[in-house]
Formats: sequence, C-alpha cells, structure tokens
Amino acid sequence: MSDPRPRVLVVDDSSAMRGFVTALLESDGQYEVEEATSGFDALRALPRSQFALIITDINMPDINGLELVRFVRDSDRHRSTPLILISTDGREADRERGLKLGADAYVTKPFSGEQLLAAAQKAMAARRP
Amino acid sequence: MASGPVLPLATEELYLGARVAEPTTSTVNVITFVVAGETYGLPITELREIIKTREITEVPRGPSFLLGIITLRGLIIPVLDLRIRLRFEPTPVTRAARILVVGWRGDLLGLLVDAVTGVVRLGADAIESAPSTLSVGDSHQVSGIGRYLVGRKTKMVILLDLGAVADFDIHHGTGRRGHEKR
Amino acid sequence: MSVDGLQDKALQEFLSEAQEILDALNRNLLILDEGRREGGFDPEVLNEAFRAVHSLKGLSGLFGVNRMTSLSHNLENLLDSLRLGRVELTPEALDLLFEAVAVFHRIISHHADGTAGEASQDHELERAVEGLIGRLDVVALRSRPQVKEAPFGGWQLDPSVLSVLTEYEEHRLHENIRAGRFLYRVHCAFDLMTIDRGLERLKGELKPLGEVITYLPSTESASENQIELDVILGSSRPLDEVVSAVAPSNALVVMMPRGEVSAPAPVAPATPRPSSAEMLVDDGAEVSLKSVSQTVRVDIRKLDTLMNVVGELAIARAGLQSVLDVLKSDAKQALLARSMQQELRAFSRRLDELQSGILEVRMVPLGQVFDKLSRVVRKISRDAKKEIRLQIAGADTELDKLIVEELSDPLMHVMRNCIDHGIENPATRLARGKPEVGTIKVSAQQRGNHVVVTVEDDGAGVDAKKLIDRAVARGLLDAGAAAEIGEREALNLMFLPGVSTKDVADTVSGRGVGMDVVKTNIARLSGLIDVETTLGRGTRLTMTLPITLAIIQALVIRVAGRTYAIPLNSVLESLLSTANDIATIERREVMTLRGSTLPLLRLDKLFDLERTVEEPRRARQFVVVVGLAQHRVGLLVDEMLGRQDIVVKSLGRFLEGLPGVAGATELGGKKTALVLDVAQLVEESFSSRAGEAA
Repeated sequence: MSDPRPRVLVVDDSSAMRGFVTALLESDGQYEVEEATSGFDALRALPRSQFALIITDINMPDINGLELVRFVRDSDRHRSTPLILISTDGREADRERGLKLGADAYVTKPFSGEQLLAAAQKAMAARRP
Repeated sequence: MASGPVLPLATEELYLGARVAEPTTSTVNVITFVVAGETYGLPITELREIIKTREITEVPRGPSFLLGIITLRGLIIPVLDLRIRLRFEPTPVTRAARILVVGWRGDLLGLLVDAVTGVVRLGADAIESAPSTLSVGDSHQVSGIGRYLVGRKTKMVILLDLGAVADFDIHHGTGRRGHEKR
Repeated sequence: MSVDGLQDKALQEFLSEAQEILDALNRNLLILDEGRREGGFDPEVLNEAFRAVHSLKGLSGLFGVNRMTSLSHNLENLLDSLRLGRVELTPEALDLLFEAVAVFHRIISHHADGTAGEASQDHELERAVEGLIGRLDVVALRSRPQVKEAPFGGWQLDPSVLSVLTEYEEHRLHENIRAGRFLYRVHCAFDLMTIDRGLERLKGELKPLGEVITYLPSTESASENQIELDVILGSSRPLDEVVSAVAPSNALVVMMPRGEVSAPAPVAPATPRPSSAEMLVDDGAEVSLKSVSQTVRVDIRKLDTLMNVVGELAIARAGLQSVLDVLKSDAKQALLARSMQQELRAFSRRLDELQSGILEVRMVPLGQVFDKLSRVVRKISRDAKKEIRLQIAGADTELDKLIVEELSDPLMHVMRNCIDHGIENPATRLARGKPEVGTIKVSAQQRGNHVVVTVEDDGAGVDAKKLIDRAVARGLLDAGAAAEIGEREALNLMFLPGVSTKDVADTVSGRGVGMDVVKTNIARLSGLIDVETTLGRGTRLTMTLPITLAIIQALVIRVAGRTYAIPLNSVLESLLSTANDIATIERREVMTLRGSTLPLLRLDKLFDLERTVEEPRRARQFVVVVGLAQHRVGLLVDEMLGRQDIVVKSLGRFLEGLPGVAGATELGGKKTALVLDVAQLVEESFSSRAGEAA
C-alpha cells in the first residue's frame, strides 16, 4: 500500500545529523524520510523508490556527495529529482562543484529548520515540471 | 496554627491514594509513624513504599541499627531499625510494625518502625525547630517539631532529617546485636 | 514533536556521538604521533582526523555548543592545512591537537553533567578554549610557500573525473602524482544486495597497493540490481601486479592515459619533504579503525535491566523445576510429567543461551581504557620531563563493561606512580646504562574466569627498606615488626595509606595518589593486586580481576544457620574434615592438604555469628578451599547446599565497603543470601583473629 506522502532521501555519514534532519522533516507529518548512511547506502536506496527530494552531505568517505550528485543526474530515474547539498562553512569550492554538477540548493552547517525547509521549497520549485 | 485532615492509614493502598501533589506554597504532607511510643514524621516526597515486615537477611559486622537487607523487586535495600538508630531500646516487633522504604539521593533505604499512623498536612507556620533539650533520642537526626489538630486536640509530630538518618558509617558500631532475629 | 523536545533527545545522542568521535580522533592522533616519529605518516589517518573534527564542528553547531563549534572550526582549519600539505606536521602541532582533544572532553563533561551554565566552571573553560584557539591560529598561519600544483605531470585526466573530486581528493591526486606513482582506473561491478561485502573485499585488495583517491559510481550498469564502480588508485606497482591483486573481485584494471612525461622518471621518489613523506602500508598491515557503524551504543543500565530479567527467569525456572518434581511424584501424572520435563529442558537450554548472550554484550575490550591511558601517560611524562614509551598488549581482552569503567582510575594512578616514582629522569637512566626512553608495558590476559592486568616498568624499582622506614615513620609499623618483616610483606606496605606518596609536591601533579586508593578500588571489584620488584631494574604490578560480577555460578553454603554464596570460580575444592585434621600453628588454625599447609578461616567467628542451640558447631565440618591467584584459604562451614547460577546484586551505596561481602543474591524461594568476597576473605585470613585457634 503506497504512502501518499512525498519521500525524501537523506544521505549523511553522521547519525546525529541524519537524525536531526529526519526529525525536522517528519515533524509536520508532511514528509516520509529514508536515511542512508553513506554514498553506497544511497546507491542501494535509489533504485527502490521514487524520491521527491534528495538531501546529501558533500564530505563523505569513499563515494562523496559530488559523486552522488553526478550519479543521480546521470540516472534516468532520478535525473529530475530536486537535490539539496549540505555543505560546510569554508568549503565553497566543493559546494560550487556540486551546484555545477546539478544540485538545486544548499544549506550550510550549522543550519536551522527554517533554512532547511526553505532550501527544500527552492529545490522542489526549481524542478517542478 | 496548623490544621490538616488526618487520613487514617491501614493499608499501603490508602497511603498511595493519599499521596497528593505538593502544593507550591508552604505546606508539607508528612507521613507519621510511631517509634518507641513517640510520633515521628517524614515528608511524603521521601517515601517510596510501605511494606509489612518480612524476613531480613542479616549482614555481618555492620552497625547495631543495621538489621540487614531485603530484596524488593530485584533491588537490594538495607533496613535500619529506626528505634535503635534513634538510640532507643528496641522492643519486640508486633504485627503493626512496618518498613518504610525511603529514597535518599537516588538510593533506597528501609526504616523499621513500630507502626504507621497516617498522613498529615502541615503548614510551614506549624513547624518549629526542636529544642536541644528535647528527649527525642538522637536529636541531630531531628529537623523540627510539627503540630496539628485532631478534632480539638493538638498533636505533635517529630520531623526527622532523612539526610542525617541516612548518614551512617558502615564501619562504625560493629558487634553483636542484642535483640531477637526474626 | 516540538523542536525543543527533539533537541533534548538529540542532545543526548550528540553527546554520545561526540564522545565516540573524540575517542576515534584520539586513536588517530596517537597513530600519527607514532608515524611521525618513525619518519612518515599515513595520510588517510590525517584525513580521518580532519573528518572527525569536521563532524564535531557540524554537530556542535547544530546543538548550540558554541565553544565546541569555535574550537572545532579553528582545529579544522589547522587539520585541513595539514592534510593539504600547507602546514608541516611538527611535534608542536601534534601537541596542540592532543590538547584540543582534552579540552573537547572537558566541554563534553561540562554538558553531560549539567554544569554548563555554572559561572566559575564556564569561565575557566572559556579561557582554556580561547587560549588554545590562539595557539592553533599561530601554527596554522605558519604555512609553507604554496607549491605550484604541476599540471598532472602528463597524466590525462578525464574532466568528468576531475569535476567530482572534492578539494581534498584533488590534493591527494596531486600528491600521488608528485610521488611518482601510476594512476590506475579499477572497474568493478557489485550486486546491490552484497555491495558491502564486495566492497570490503575490494578495499582489502587495494589497500596494500597504494592509495585510493576516490570511488566513482557509474550509471551505465547492466541491471537495476547492480552498481558499477570506478576506483581511481595511485600506486607504484606495475600493472600486472595490480591486475592480479584485484582478480578475485573480478575487477578490470586500466592504467590512465598519459602523454609525454616531463617530470622526472616516476620510478624515483620525488625529493623527500620530511613531513609529507608518506608511509605506504605495503605489507598490508592494517591501520585498523573499527567501523563505527558495526556497533550499537547501549546504555549500561539497559543491560542491567536485561540481566535482572534474565535472573528472574532463572529463578522462575527453578520454580518450574519444583513443580515438575511434585508432578513426577504422582504416578498418575507420569505422562504429563514427561512432557513438561522435555519442555523445561528446551526452555533451560534457550535460557542459558540468553544468559551467555547478554553476558557477552556486557563485555567490552580493555582497549577502551588503554586508549585513555596513552593520552594520560603522554601528558604526565611531559610534565615530569621524562621520556616514556608505552607498550600495550592484550587490548582485545574483554571484561564486563562496569569493571572496565572502574578500572580506568586505578590504572591511571598506577601509571602516575610508575612515571613519578618508577621511571628515572633521562640523565639518571643514561648514567645507569639504561636507554634514555623508559618503557612501561601494560598487558592484559585472560586466565580462566579472571583477567590479569600487569603494569611493568624498567625503572628504579621499589626500595623495600625505604617503605619500611616510611611505614615506621608514620606509625604504621613498630620497630620490632620492622626488623622481622619479610620482603613480600615489606613490599605490600606500599598499599598502606601515606606510604607511597611523595612528601613534597615537587611535580606539577602534586603528591600523587596513594597506592592504598588503588588497592581499595581493585578490592571493590573483588580483585587482588600484587607487586614484584628488582631494585634498579624495575617493578611489576599485577592486578587480578574477575571477568564479570554479573551472573556467576556459585556454591551455596550454610554456617550457623545463615546461607551464603561463594563464587564458584574461586572454589578450588571442598572436603569434609574432623577436629583431628585441624592443627594449630602460631595460634592459627591450619590443615594439611596434600603435603602443604592450608590456612583455615571460621566464617562463624569472622562474621561474629551467634549459634543457637539447634545449630551448634559440629565435630565434622566442610572445608571449602577457595583461592585467588596463588593464595589459598579453607573456609569452615556447616553445610554445602549445592551449586547454583546467581545474579550478583550490588549492596547499594549505604553498604559499600562492607568487608567480606561482595553483594547479595536471591536464591530460589525468595531467600536473599549474601555473596562472599573471596579476595577480601583471603586477605583477612592473613591478618585477622578469625584464623586463630578458638
């Protein structure tokens, strides 16, 4: 039985960060969140669902966020999925690369709930057909 | 002058029912009990349970007022004979005797008393500090004296300082216990 | 859920995760330190350290732990500069990093025990943080002149590859090129379901070859269930070696295309820059940083609750057994009895499994404590101006988590003592023909139901004479006894209060903590501590600890009508004796057991137990021979009631320190019995009157 709520994929190797983002998104009952603990985990999750939004950290070991963005944009299934980057203060170069590769919006740590939700709106608006 | 309904206490259930929320102004609910013929009291917030006396496992080489330990729902609780702790001569235990399980700084302790009489609400103005000459046994374990009305009679309750009661050194007072084991 | 509500819960998780990150960071720093001393370091470790601080920064920012955020920020800058090669990894830099870890710990404790907000503590911490940040900045600013990145030394790199590299990965790419390594592209396909295992295997194959720069997922995969990866590898090995190394994973290897090579021949290593010299872990030795995601953090209280439940189940099982016994005695119920027997047997087996399972969960490796130790040793030896090398063996040895936690303080005190009193300063050591650097060896080993932890140093040894003089001076020993005292007893004087501390605070650490405190702590864990020494050569402290205080097998006995439980792992044997077997030597009761003398202890006497008319002392008594390490004592008891599994419960705060009693337990039938502390009883038998003839 399919869940009518939009699904969001959150990718971050920090469990506390994932928990925080998930709690924020699920607090209003608007979204349903799936968590991925690494780039690989995300690769596993992607074929299984259609996501309304993907939020990913950039600096992760092995498969970093940039590689994930490129992968998502290259894939048939997810190429138009709104995508938000979680970037770090001072790491503008990485963030710019991510945006160039096709991310729609970003939030910089530390960010508030409002900032995240605003970025989500922005990303989803950008990709509305 | 204090007033306060005295709730007769016959069972643990009644006591639990009597546990009222502490009003933020200056009254305190006190559980009253009898030790060596005198009425003593403790704030009800310190009380966790009242249980009937049961077999207490002796503990070797402890102070004379340490009766031993009991197991309550998996927890080991030491039991003190409050009569000896307050420096009275212990008398044989009757069926009215109870063990008050109290909590002090997160740890539980059992106090054996001769009987439990009830719960009393005392206003702050009804409590005064104990005169040092009061023959209440061990006066440094007393925090004050409270008065309350029963009908038209004024009654006295000696309030115990649980911190002082619980402050004992396991290594002191080794030796035999003179009274009967249960 | 309100944002506040989720903040509280998340705060706990944050503190917990922050602690884990710190522990991992500490380990990394130690590895870097070791590596630096030996001439090089593993860049991956430095990167891990960077990532750790990066995570801490992000986390603390999220939860408003501002001090931690600003400290992390500056620390991250320094680590970034270090890993990008802009700043050299000097001992000074490392010291700062270690100091930062210590300050982080303080911040965490500050928040964990709720003293955050307390003015004086806050203020002091604030200053510590600010001072540290200042010094971090100074070092970070000492960057070396930027080396111009050579344009890939002739390697033709696909712009699509370059565009997905993070700044750090790009730096690593340049470093590999500069070191003259070959760049390979390893292509491998994985089944999505088993990707973890496949990946682990591939990583294992790649690590000895060189450095993995990045993993690129490819979308051109054969099916929905497969993932294809391109791995960019920097290695100095030739192509055929790489090919055969990854053959088991069915990977394809291609060397990246290369134009005219203008840089010096790749075979010769680039001019060595001492601080950026990298250690290739060629022999496949694992710089093992345990994957955090494999473990689950558990609150020890939850484990205690589970243990209680299992304990209750064990009691219930005993109850069922009694019911079964009644059933069996009724001939008409034979069939029912038999079925119940079968069920009970199956139930018992599962219960035993559950019990061992939970016990195992409580077990944690001693390595946890040893890590902390390394940091402390470093600090103390700096303060004492001595050079110390710490060797650790047996970090995998496991003990009950509670014991491990209680062990860290005594171990640290022992270390402190070792460094303050044991290891001599470098000048003295050289004069004595010893190496300048002192060695302290900490090792742990499991022996049956005990773990033996030894701390051995090659220092000055303990002067028994000095101990004796000290003890006499403090009135702990009279001159007469002093004259007759044996070597072993003299050494044990060090465990008396006031004997092992210094008279004057001549080090930053002050007078030091006495060994008596150590002994008390170890005794509280039902353990023993022994010391051996050779004057001028060194000292060895041996601590013997039970593996777990939780569920144990016990021997239940009765003396003077009271029931006690003796941990079975301390029971060597039991026998029946008569008055004839017991002799008296120097007013102590003993018996001869297979040719050697066994000291005896009468529990009723030791515990001052009154005997009633129904329980007189019998002519024939049981002797339960108990032992711990090499000490043995025979306990005289009235009855042996059999063996039983018991859950040892703590006596609680009020009864802490009750001599001779380790805890209490509930035997079947709601009877509460005391569990004896064999170690203490053994001790007492040497000193008390209870061993003396009646």
